Amino acid sequence: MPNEQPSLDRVFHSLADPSRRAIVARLVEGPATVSELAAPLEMALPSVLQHLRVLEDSGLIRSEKRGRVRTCRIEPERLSEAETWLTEQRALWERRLDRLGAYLETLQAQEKD
Amino acid sequence: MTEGRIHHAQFSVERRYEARPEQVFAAWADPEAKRRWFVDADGIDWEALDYGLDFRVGGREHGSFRHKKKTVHGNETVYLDIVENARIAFAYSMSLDGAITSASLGTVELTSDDGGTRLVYTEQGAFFDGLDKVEYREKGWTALLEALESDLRRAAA
Repeated sequence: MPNEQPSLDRVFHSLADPSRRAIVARLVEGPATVSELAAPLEMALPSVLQHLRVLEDSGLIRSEKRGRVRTCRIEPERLSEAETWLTEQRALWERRLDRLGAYLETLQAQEKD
Repeated sequence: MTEGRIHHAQFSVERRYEARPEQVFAAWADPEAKRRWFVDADGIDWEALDYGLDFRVGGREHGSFRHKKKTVHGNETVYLDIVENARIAFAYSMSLDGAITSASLGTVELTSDDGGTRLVYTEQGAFFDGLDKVEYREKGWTALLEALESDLRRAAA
């Protein structure tokens, strides 16, 4: 098998933090400066920079400094086409199996009535 | 990208349900039950144009679904192995507006787990190129975040 899975594991690992997920969710919409990314996050700037470094080290985002402004953007190539397929397909089955769970819960509730 | 390339990938999704294996199996085997969670719960963005299930070895399942009144997503499945209350194996292809986008082998394993059932879904897929567009990458990211949220919700539960 090709090595999509370990790479995906790394992606999941680096996203295992709500602030970093918020940053990625924002960057999926388009590039943003560090201060724009920091604004909705209730934390000091050094903490924001630390999160950005983790994301940048994992290859999920990249940033460039122009003058005094650092701009971050998502690294779309990080998610290869196969990974895109994989994440979509996995998310599809996650949703399906959650709905199966919800359906089974309604069955259980009916049994108890 | 090079035309005609095939990407291979594998993933597993695991769940534990507060229901007996017979009940979980029935939710896959009974066409009406399966339709309730597999098709009807998809939400307002999805319109089921066609759906049918013939649950037996060699039997087929097919569906076609319109997304946001635009693209039509198709699903063609053949059941390869069925062990009552324990295992289901199937091969299926997915299509987008008539073009086949992937072909996969899916397996469902059910085991009793302290009054409930543990379900492991594993898929080995071959993904065909032709969808190398930015929108798909973005969809990939969104899907990734959704999958992660769902993982975390379960970890917190």
